[in-house]
Amino acid sequence: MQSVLHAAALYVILVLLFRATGRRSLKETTPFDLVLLLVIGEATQQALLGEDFSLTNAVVVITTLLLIDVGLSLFKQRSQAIDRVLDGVPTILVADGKPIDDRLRRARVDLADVLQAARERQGLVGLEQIRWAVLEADGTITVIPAKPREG
Amino acid sequence: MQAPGMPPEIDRIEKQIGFQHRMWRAERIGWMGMTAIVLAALAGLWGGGGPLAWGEAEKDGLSVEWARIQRSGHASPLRIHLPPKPGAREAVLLLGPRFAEQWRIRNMAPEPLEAAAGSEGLRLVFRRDPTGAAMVAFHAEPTEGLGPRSLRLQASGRMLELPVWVWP
Repeated sequence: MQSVLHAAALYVILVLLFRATGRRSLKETTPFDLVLLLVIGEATQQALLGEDFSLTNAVVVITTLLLIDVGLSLFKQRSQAIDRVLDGVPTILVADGKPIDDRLRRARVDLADVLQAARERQGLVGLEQIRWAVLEADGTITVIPAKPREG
Repeated sequence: MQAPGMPPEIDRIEKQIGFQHRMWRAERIGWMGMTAIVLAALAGLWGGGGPLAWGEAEKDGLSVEWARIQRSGHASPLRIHLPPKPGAREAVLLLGPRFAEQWRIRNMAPEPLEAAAGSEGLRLVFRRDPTGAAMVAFHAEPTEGLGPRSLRLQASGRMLELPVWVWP
C-alpha cells in the first residue's frame, strides 16, 4: 500500500516542481544538466523503493506511475484547461524582428538563445531575418523566417 | 499585437498571453514555496537534524537528547543518561509501551545485559560504571507512517514522555 501512495505522491510533487522550474531549466543538454537529471532520478528512486528491492515492489511502483501518466493524458484530452495548466502554452518572443523584452525576461530566455535557434533551425543570421520566434510549450524555440524583401 | 496578415495560428498563440502571464506569476509563487521548503529544512522542520528537530529533556537525573522530528526509514540518535545511583551495579530502562512497534533499534552502545519485551514495553538492563552512572546511546528508526508519536522512557521511578513527529 505504501508503495502506491508514495509513488502517487512523488508523481504529483515532481509535476509541481518541474512546472515551477519552468520550461527551459532542464532543456539544455549540457553535461551539468544531464548530471542534475540523473541525480534527481536517483533521489526519486531511493524514495520509491526504500529498502524493498523486490520484484513485486518494482512492478507496483512502475505500474502506479505509468497508470497516473495515462490517467493524466486522458484528463488532458478531455479538458483544455487542464491541458494548458499541465503542459503550458507557446509564447511569442520576437515579432517582426523585434524582441519582446518583457516576455524574454519572464521566460528567462536570452536573445542569444533565440539567435542560436534561428541559426540552427533556419540558417538565419540576424534578427531582421526573423518574422516570429516562438517559445514552445516544451521549451524549444521555433523560428519563422521573414519573407525576403522585394527589390 | 495584432498586425494585418497575421496567420491564424500565430494569432491563436498570441491570444493566450494572458494565461501565460498567470502561469509566470504561479511560477514565481512556486519558487517562493520551494525557498520556504529549503529554509524549513535548514531549520530542521523536516527532520534530519537542525535546531527545530533536536530536543533535550530532563527529570530528576533522567536526561534525554532525542530527535523531535524524524523520518521513516531514517535512524535518528537517542542519548539517555539514566539517573545515577552510587553503589548500584545495574540500571533498568523501560521503553514503551509501543516502542517496539513504532521504532526499530539500529545500534546500541553499550549493549544491554538483558533485553525483554513485555506488555509494558521493552525492558533493558545495563551495567553501571564504578561511580553508579549509566548512559545509553542508540539509533532508532521509525517504522512507516506519518504523524505524531510518543516516546516514553522510564528509569528508577522517573518517567519522560517525549513527543515525536514522523514524516514519511
